[in-house]
Amino acid sequence: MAVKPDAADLAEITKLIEEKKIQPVVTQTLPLTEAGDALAQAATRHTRGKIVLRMADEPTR
Amino acid sequence: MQNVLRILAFLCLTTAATRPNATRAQANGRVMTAVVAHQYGGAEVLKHEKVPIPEPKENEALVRVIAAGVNPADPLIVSGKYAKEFGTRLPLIPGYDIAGVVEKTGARVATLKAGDAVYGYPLMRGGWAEYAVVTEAEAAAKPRSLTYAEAAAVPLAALTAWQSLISTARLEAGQTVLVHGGSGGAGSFAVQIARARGAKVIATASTPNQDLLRQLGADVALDYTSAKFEEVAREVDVVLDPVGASSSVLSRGLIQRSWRSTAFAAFRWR
Repeated sequence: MAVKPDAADLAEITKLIEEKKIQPVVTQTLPLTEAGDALAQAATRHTRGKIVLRMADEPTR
Repeated sequence: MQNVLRILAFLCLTTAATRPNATRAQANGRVMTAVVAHQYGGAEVLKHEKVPIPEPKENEALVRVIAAGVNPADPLIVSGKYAKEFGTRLPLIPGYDIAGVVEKTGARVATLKAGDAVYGYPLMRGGWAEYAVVTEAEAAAKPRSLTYAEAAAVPLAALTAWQSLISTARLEAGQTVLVHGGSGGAGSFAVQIARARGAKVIATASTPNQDLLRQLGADVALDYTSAKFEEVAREVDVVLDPVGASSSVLSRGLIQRSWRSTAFAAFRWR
């Protein structure tokens, strides 16, 4: 079985997030310039939670 | 245990690999910064380059990416080890998860419009860039309670956990699930999704991450450096293995089939 993009499944996940039943565990937010470091960490397969790369500031709304 | 139903959910295995931004961009004159690999390898092959902003096809939306997730699939793809299976070609832009704002949409896109805050899972289209294209099936409205950075951590890992636990293993309330690597990317979602489903959750992690397992809602947190799987496994209905750790269970003779270590496996135990 392949993990596949599925809007219905993603909607279920969105619902659980809105209900505060699940919350992503982001342990590091790195600038895009640190993509190499992020890739190397992911390759260890021992990251705690998730690493995220940031391209732009959060929009104000 | 002879009746183990085996399902492998190979991270991001699909046959519908499409060409990455770097090779299918249109000449619309606008450029963006992207992380590009021109050869297969490790972190050393990644370059930051100006490349054309991709043009959405009629069933796609162009998203201005605010944040992008990092997944175990990224180093696998960049390594080239699965180039044949995934249909990847060079140059490629890694990145499977994005959160951002819709910039424009193709003619046949009905549910997304310019200005929408979205998150999604653009398969093989390169999320580690300032812009990326997604189809409607690959995107949803960003949860309002999350920042873009938080939302970018969700799609691939949460879909992997959801599709393995719910779609494949059909976890039900009252059942017990063993989640290997419960503090990792997919594992941390699996623990929470299983709890939300009403299952009892036994989760494993290394010593420093035992507290995180409990915060996520695991009923039983096990230190895999010292856990005795034989004692817990007898009570388990479903095993979820994002880290290939079931080999340690397998080696103890609890189940008889073997799995590829890079696979995300979910299976009915009994």
